[in-house]
Amino acid sequence: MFKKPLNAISVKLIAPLVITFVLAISFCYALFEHNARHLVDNFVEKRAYELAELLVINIETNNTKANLIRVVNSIGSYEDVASLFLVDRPGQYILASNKNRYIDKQLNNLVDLSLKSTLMDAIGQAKNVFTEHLGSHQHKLVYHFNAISMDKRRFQPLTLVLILNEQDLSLALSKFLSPLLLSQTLAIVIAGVFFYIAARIVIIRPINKLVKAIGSARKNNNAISVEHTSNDEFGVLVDNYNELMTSLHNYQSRLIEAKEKSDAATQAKSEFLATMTHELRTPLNGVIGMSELLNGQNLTKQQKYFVDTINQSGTQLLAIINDILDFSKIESGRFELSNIAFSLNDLVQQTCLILEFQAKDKGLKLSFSNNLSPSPSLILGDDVRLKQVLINIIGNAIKFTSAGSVQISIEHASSFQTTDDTKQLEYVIKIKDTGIGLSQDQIDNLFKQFTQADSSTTRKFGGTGLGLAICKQICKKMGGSISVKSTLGEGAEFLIQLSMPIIDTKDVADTPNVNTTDLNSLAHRQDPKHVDELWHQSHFVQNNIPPKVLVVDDTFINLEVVSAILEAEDIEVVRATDGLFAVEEFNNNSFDLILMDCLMPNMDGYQAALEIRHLEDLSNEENELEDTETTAKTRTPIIALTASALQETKDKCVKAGMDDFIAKPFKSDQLITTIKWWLIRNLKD
Amino acid sequence: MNIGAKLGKKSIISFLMASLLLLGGCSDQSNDIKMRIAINPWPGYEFLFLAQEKGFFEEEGLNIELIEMASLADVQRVYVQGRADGIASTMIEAVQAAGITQEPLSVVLIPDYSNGGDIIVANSTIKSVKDLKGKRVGAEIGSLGMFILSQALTREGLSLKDVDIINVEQLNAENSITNNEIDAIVTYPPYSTAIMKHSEYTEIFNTSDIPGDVIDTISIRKSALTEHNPDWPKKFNKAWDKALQYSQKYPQESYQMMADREGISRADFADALTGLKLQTSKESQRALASDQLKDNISKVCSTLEHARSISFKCKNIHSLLTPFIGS
Repeated sequence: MFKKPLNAISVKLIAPLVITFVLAISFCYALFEHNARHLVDNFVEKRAYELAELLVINIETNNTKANLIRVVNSIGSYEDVASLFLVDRPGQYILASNKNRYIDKQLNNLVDLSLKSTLMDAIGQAKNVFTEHLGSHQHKLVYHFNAISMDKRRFQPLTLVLILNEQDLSLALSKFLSPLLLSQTLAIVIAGVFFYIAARIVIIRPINKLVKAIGSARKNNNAISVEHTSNDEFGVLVDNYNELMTSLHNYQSRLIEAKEKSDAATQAKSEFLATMTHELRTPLNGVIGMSELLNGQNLTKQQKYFVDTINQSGTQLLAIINDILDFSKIESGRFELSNIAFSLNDLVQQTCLILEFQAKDKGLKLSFSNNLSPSPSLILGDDVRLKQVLINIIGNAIKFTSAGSVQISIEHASSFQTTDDTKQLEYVIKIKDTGIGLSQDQIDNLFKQFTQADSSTTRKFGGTGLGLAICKQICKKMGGSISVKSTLGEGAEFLIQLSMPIIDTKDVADTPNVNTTDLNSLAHRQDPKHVDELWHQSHFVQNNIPPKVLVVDDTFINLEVVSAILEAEDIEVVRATDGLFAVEEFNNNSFDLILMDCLMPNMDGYQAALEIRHLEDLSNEENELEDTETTAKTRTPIIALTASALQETKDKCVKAGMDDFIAKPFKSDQLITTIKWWLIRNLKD
Repeated sequence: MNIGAKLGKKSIISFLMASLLLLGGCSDQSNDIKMRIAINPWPGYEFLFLAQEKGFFEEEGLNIELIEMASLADVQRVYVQGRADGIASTMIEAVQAAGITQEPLSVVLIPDYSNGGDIIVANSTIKSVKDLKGKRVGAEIGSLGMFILSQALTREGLSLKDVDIINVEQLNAENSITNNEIDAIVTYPPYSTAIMKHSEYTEIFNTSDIPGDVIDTISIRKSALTEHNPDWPKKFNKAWDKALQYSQKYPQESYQMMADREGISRADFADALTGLKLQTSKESQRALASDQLKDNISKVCSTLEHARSISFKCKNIHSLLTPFIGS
């Protein structure tokens, strides 16, 4: 809260006032004391001379012993007279004193030594002397005079030593000063209190109000106008504050409104795009699938050219639609990454293999070197997305290089240092080409959406201009970055910098299926050639037993495409047009694998998968009871086939008990590899 | 209220309290009030100097200044002028002081009775009090001397009118009689001691003939007692007793000291002491409470009235001059 500073203000205001008052009063008091002291001293001196004069007048001409003693005693009886001595100078003895015991004593015989020296000094002095402040509040007068001697025939030289007390006078003075000090102190206190109250009302209360209003405005995030109570500087401050807050608040609400509108528009656009692309993929599936099937027929050279063109165009269109889908997902915030254990080395190598054909076609040399040491066998991340980025960047490198080479390498990030228990791999994938290169302007715009390095290149090389923007977003999402170094005409080097956790190989061996939520990647990770080799060794081929696959889809054309692709590979196909039929078929026959569409009338793919798994569980239990020797549980792989590439869909599939996921539209070899992999895998299990 | 306000209030209160304490420190301490007592040379009063010298007053927390005057008349005058708070005197001066000032006076102590101390000394022509008729007798008019002379004459059927009274101060007593200015004088130690050194003078009367008539008193202005310190008489009596006890314990030292002050020898001082009867505070208390004291006051006052030496009426003297009982 703001209470401490407020307190400081009141102290700051009052402290100087009180200090000034105290100083002024102290000064007055000191001045008064000084003057009073001076007055007292003057008074005492005058008094001393008056008393001396009184004594002299009384005894000058009436110098009898009795008279002397009477006068001395009488003067001695005054309160301010401490003591007095009348000394005979020639005789050096005390003629009279108000202290009886000293009368007629010789100075030389005095026991009191300080008195003796005082009196001896006195008679030795040449003239009358008044001494101020003789010790504690005492003053001394030494007064010489001549009295007519007792025989009235000569002068008798006498010295009066008068010691005066001013204690009573000082006491009276302090009695007078005390009430003065009291009243002045009271005045300070009253003035201080008055000023404090005034300061609180005039200064601190308005500040408090303002502070409170600002605090509550901050807390509630709205403008509270402060009441205008005075026409002084605070009034102006309050008015200005109110105006400022009102305009700020209006401005802020307009901004929020605009942002909400803009967000809603972007969201709507992204939603639209996601839906549209989804809808576009289903018919495209038919075009690509059918053109591939058609390509397998006996065609004339010209027919084959036409079919290839259809296929290529479909594939290109699919790529564009995929880009748009990815981009709209990123825009709408529905873009999610999966976590899979994978080999970085294998992933880059596979990517190179995929693109090697393109490079060879253009006469380019595509090389890869892994400079990681040690190179971890497995790391955790989204391999599919990383592959997507690599394909894009390497593909671009090939696209924009007409001669020379494209070199790919993996290196440790400069900041990375290996230790025995390193848990995180920080690495850079470098893609260096000898292509046309980029200018600084081009580099600046390179990763922006819908731009290519040069609009003219669009016409020459094609593409949506979304690829690099998507790559950048993916890398960013992965916690890494992508950058480029290039000079126009001298090639370019792309740097993908990422950091991923290292997986202990032993842990992974026990759980080959690290993350089943990532359906799309399980089979896709496999090298198609390797799968093919294994397939030829499997009992399906060796014993010539065709595998039996149940294909479930409500769209006739899809059923046709899939059946044609499978049958071309000597796979027996049983068709079902919805979930209900599928469950019925499963109940009546046994299948090696099921391809399941997700969205179907009567019973959708999820429900069907659930029912099938339920049936399996029941039969497994029966088997366990009947025959303990053949304990192998049967679990028919179910692969989802769907046009939706969203993570939610994948999650839903897993939940329903499905094992893998293929997004429509798919390439025929991709479908075959996946099916084969699952068939082999299922046998091994 | 916020913390700031509380702090402000607290500091203001503490400031107020500090200033009050500061001022409180300046206020008077009643025990420090000084009492000034006028005193004249008389062996009985010397014990007050002894108490002063030995610090018995201080021990009791009393601040006393003894103002030394030459005669009883001077003592009375200083009191009447307001330069003293109390007097050490005979009842005669006490009555006059109370009467003249019309201010209540308290007798706090009776230090002694004159028991032969006050004497009438005469030259060789006079053998007895009866012979004083028509003679010049020195005495302090309106004071103790006249009272004693009056008492002495009354016993012989004479009165003050029968003698020629000449005012002689004690300081001039010796001079006056040796210069043959007077035939007899009423006197007391240490002045009587000096006169009696001359062999031609004889004592024709002393106060042992009128026991209890000449009473010495220590009297204090009543307002000074009630205003500041009602315990004062009690403490004063205590200091008095201490002085008496000290003189009994160390007579040599005490007597020497007191004799020095009187300007006489120790032996003469001891001799002078036989002429009076010292009173302890207990004895003093008893005397103060007795009817005899009241009678004495009446007697003194009426004597003074008859001698026309006072201008006030004696009828309210008992309310003006009162014994302080219970100290």
